[in-house]
Amino acid sequence: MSHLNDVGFTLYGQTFTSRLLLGTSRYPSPQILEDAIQIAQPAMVTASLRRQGANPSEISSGFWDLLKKLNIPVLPNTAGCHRPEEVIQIAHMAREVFNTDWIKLELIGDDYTLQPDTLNLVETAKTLLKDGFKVLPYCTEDLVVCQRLVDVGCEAIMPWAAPIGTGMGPSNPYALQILRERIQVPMIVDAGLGLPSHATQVMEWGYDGVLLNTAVALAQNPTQMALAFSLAVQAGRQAFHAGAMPANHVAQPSTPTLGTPFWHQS
Amino acid sequence: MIIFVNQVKKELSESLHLDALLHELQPKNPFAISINSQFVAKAYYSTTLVQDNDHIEIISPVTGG
Repeated sequence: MSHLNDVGFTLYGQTFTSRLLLGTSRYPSPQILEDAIQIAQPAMVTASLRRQGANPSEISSGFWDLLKKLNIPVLPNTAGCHRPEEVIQIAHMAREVFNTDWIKLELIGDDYTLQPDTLNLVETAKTLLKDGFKVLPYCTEDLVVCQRLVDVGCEAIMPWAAPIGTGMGPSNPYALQILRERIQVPMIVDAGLGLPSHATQVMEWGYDGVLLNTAVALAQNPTQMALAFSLAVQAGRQAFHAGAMPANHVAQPSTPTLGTPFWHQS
Repeated sequence: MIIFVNQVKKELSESLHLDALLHELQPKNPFAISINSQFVAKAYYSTTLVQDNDHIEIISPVTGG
């Protein structure tokens, strides 16, 4: 009975009651973004930094005012960075702008798949940790890379389910399940989820949370989908704690066979 | 001298400190600054001298995933 009320999870000493982290991009309107966040009540919302004036609609849309109004922790990202030096500089700029030590470390190694540059990810994470950041690295499901990230001090990691924005759902279930078994720190599945059932699936495997954006933002009704994901994450967590029955290849009637009317020994 | 602000060329009649340049540019809050790809913290605006051919980036919050 102890897990019926999920107490949430802890990242870098901070406890979050929600296990859903929500991106803020690609929504049809600022109002729909706000509605989606209000109904999902995520642990954090992600944000980014771009040149002032590069996208006037976003600068003037009151996004900053919305973040202040919502009062939900902001997780700045380093999206679009291809070199460790860029990541470090953007992280420091984000810390000043958003007044937070949280950073979603994105170091892109391939533009087609937006796959993280795992060869440079660990050293970059190490530098950011040394600079006092609470680093949440976006990584692949590669067990060794994930373990190295933990070894350098990452207190949580964020493996992808599939490439960003694809909505394909977990493309390598085996690796994600093995990863969950082997890595002891909190893990948040980030990127590639398209359906609430995908979120439930990874939560059933024991992941601590999910981070998603496009699956909600591009839904026909983003606010309703935000609620659906919020409930799906909770359902998956409850199922993980409940413990699933072992699967069988042979049918077993759930109704007792003893005393079945009209039944005769053949 | 010539500088570049968010990739736009700008001519300055004299060398000036970053805080003076920002006073002139009036960027929208909140923002952060880098010069030649190096972050410049707010505490250093008044002591950072803008140099010829500097590339200055003024960045602000946007939505992100």
